[in-house]
Amino acid sequence: MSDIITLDITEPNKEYIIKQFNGGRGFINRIESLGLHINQIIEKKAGSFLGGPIVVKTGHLSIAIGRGMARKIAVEKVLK
Amino acid sequence: MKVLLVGNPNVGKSVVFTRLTGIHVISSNYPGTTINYTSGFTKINNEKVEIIDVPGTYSLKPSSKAEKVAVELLKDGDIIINIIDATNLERNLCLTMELLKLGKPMMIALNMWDDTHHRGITIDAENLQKILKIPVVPTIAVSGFGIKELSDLVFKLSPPDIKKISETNKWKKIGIIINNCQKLKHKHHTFIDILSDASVKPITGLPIAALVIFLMFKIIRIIGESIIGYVMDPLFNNFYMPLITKLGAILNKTGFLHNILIGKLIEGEIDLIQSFGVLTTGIYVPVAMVIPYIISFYLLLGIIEDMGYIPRLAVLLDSLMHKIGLHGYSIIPTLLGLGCNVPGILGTRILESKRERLIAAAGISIGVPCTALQAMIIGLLAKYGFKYIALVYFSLFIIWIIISFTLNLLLKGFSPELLIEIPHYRLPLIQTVLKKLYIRVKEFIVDAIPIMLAGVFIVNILYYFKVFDIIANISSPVLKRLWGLPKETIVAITVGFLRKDTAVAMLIPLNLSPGQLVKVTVILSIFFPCIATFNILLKEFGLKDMLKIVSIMIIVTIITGCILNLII
Repeated sequence: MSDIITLDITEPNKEYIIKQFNGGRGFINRIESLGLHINQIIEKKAGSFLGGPIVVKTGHLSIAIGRGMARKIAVEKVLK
Repeated sequence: MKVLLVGNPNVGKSVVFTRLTGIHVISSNYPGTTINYTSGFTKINNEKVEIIDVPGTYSLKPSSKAEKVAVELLKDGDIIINIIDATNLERNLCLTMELLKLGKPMMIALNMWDDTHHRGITIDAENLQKILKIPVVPTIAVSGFGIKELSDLVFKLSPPDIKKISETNKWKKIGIIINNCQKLKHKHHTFIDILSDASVKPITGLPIAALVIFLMFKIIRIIGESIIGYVMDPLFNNFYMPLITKLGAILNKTGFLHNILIGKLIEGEIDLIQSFGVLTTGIYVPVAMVIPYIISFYLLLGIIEDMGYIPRLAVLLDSLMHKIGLHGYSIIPTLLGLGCNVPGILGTRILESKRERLIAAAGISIGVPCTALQAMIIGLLAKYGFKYIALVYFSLFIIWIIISFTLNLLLKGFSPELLIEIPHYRLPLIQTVLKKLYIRVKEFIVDAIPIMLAGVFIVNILYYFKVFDIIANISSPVLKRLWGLPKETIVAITVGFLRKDTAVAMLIPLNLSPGQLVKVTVILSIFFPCIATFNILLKEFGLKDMLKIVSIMIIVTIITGCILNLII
């Protein structure tokens, strides 16, 4: 379990799997309706700049997520 | 009967709408182009059917005003056509599941079907139809593929037969559907993918953004000036001017009618800019000076909209925009405001909170000059050198930042974080870009030119009754002492309430120094919105907030005038 980190501090261009959303129902609804869900594999494409959003990619979908929200998303590195 | 086109943002609903009804609406490559609904009628099986283009929504639990509009519309629709971006099946099905629960007759249009092939996606549409128990039609809205099947099916739909899906089971169910209906082939990174990543990474993205903005301004000016120099000026000089001169001669060069239609003679000659008659300045300014820039601005805006670049700009600028209480996505209404403040203020509907909308709208109506105004400012100041134009833009930019920053401190609440989908880059289709340009230019002609002609007419009447003399005398202490401007400029500032471009045209005969011109054009830009903007602020925010914005505007104008007077 110690390998679980938050999305904002992941390494770019490496695959991670979403483990948990640490937020209220409203937050989870918004995140899920944009297409992110538990057990999904994502890759960070751009890191935060001056506290700005990070960009993640999953399949053919790119999503920009504010850093505060990214901190609420727990992920685990996919081992190859 | 009402047929609703429902789907996630940016899946091509508006294009399907155009295909079904023949009515052209603006579409772009970013989520949230349709912020209000458009409806149109079409005949299917000889029966009149109302088609409604619902603003895109990710979920039926709305998080912005545009999404609220969508949810409201769903209440009294009869049939749902759920439009899905076939390249993002999994995410799009999330909304589909929510829609199915409504129990209304429904079908799915798997749009952007052609895109799936070159992205290595294979979707088994028949199987999808079997699992969901509703018709699934592959479509390519931009080319019209599949649209006929959609309209053929409208009267054959029955309510969906799907058992209640709980929230927790939703993704499991979607997962099963995806496993059964979709196959992905791994594709190597293409140039577009690399560019896509580079344009959101700060280190490469910021230089790209600077280059894009610089090139946009450069190209807008080149196209605008070329249309003026090669099309409008020859047309007006060779064809229009002789007609007007003849009319002047018929009217004996004097009298009330001459004053209204042709205006004053400048050194014994008719001057299309300065004479200020309905048929001289009233026609020349909008047609020959403003429309060329309207065309070039909206052409370029249309191209970068359809490419999908703007959301990337929003991501890059997000952290900076947060410092002034906005998030990056407010760059979209702000850019639209550079064309005309009215669609800009309407565009704030994509923002989540009222607070953000108010900050963005105040910033747009005060600090963002529309293309018509910019065209006139450039036309007026270009001969004195680029630095004066730059000074106007710089002042407006600073004012925009200060206003947003102050409102951010004053208004309660905080600005939510950015959470947006970044669309794929697409090569803009020439037809859609030109169609969009046509809609926007037509809107300008229909909305702006009548006001402009009426404005020139009213101003001439007021001149005739010497109303402006009274206003000028009353306001001269403020103008002279605080702002260092001659009292005649008040006429232009007053006319700015009708149209700002007409107002700038009125400054030309006053022989102001370049410094005075900078001051007065900045004041004109920020002081009081033009009548169209005023109206839209009232409609969107109500009397109380509109008055708030207007009072900020007046205070800012007085202070700015004083500061500029001290500096220049």
